[in-house]
Amino acid sequence: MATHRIPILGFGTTPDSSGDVFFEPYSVKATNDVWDRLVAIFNDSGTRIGLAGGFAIPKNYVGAPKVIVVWTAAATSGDVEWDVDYRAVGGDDAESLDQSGTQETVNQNDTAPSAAHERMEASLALTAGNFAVDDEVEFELFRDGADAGDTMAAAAIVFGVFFEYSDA
Amino acid sequence: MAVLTVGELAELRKSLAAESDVVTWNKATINAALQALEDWYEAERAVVSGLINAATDPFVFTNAQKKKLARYFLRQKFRREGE
Repeated sequence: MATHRIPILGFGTTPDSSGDVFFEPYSVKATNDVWDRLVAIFNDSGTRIGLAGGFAIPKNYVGAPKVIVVWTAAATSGDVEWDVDYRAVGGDDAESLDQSGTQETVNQNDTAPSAAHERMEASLALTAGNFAVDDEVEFELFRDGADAGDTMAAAAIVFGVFFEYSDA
Repeated sequence: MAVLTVGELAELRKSLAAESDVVTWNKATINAALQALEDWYEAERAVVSGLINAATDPFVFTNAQKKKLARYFLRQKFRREGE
């Protein structure tokens, strides 16, 4: 049995309409300005702000699903509340991609890096039985600034979001 | 004393974080500092108004004019003092 991670911020990734989630070059927040790739910024807004996307469950999926958020910040104090809402939709002409409500909402509190810009991983465990091979997973990653547990007074800088799973 | 709203505090925190290389404080700490500034400003508002009136007597600026004076003065003051 092996563990796999696939990136899930594909072409359909869309920030919400708050204006507090957006993409910008890492050089805007970074100090050394060497690596200028795009990152997703989740501002300290005091509200629940999100980045929506979708991906397909791989052919070799068996179980142990998680969403992994790779992130950092220029802050060294406080915590971030990460939420993931999702719905997995399967079949051919069997299930609607436009259903109301989420299938599951998961939450993870993660503490700011001990030194600014250090790589952080937040791991959000999902319910294995909610997924089947080839399902289209519609999801939204939130920073819940309205949660009392979100105490970091700076933007969270997201480098990648992954779906982790085990195969047979 | 006016209490800064969640939205007002978030706006100020965002501006401060955007101009800071490293943020070593958390929300509660910066919120307390911002509220202290708000409390100071509100407590001194009448005092400063009286000082302006005494300095410009017999001319009296309106409250709206005094607000503009304060805004432009503070903007230049911080520019003069530097970062």
